[in-house]
Amino acid sequence: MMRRPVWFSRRSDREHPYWQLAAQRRRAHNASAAFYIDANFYLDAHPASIELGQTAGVDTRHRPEFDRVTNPVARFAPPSFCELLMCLLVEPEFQEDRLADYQERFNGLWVPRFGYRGAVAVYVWHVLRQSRLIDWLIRMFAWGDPL
Amino acid sequence: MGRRGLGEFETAVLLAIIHLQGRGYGVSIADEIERRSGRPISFGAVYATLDRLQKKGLITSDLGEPTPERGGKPKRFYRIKADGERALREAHAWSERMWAGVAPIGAPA
Repeated sequence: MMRRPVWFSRRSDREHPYWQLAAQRRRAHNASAAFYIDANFYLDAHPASIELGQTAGVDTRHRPEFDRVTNPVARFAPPSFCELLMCLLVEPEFQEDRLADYQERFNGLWVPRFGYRGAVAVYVWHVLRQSRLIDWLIRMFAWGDPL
Repeated sequence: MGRRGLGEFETAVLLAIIHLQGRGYGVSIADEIERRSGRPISFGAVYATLDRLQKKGLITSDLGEPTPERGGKPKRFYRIKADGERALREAHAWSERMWAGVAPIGAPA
């Protein structure tokens, strides 16, 4: 049996911010998926009246009146590997607030400016940037205090 | 304060914390520095500097109330300590001593 690394939190550890955020995102995703199935398109005919083998016409036009944000923070959630990286590099007492700060920045600035994929890259860079390793490298090669 | 003085960015972070009057958390501190300095800064560098200043004992932090717009997560508000104010004063005095007697840049000597 593969042994779990010591830094990897247990799935049963519900209090850990990483798993709390993962559960929150899963709930938001499930809610939005159900919502789209229920209300974001219409069948032309009642499903009971469709003959077997016949295709129903589907109106897939976007309906902004049905755009409902279940959780504004989770609307553009960064990928979980980004948050895992954050949890690995940041001390546990600072993880919860910092994950939320980064998510606020991710939603408010990086996604509108760089798009989702660009925002993920920026997220990873800034998580790495805040670690002491980058400070040490800057001090080594720039011969001075990190900015 | 440690053996070394404050760096330029450390000074900027401490001043932003003072300007925000106890309501400064990571995002607002970064925004305040960008707004006042007029140049983009690295978001990650703000946290690296906050960690360093806290380790030096110049600032302290406490968690606020969890809010629904942050998904039930609290903000961490930073406050400057007496040692931080002293370090800022020393850095300012050091800068003034260095500038004393220097003619304004661009003016004839």
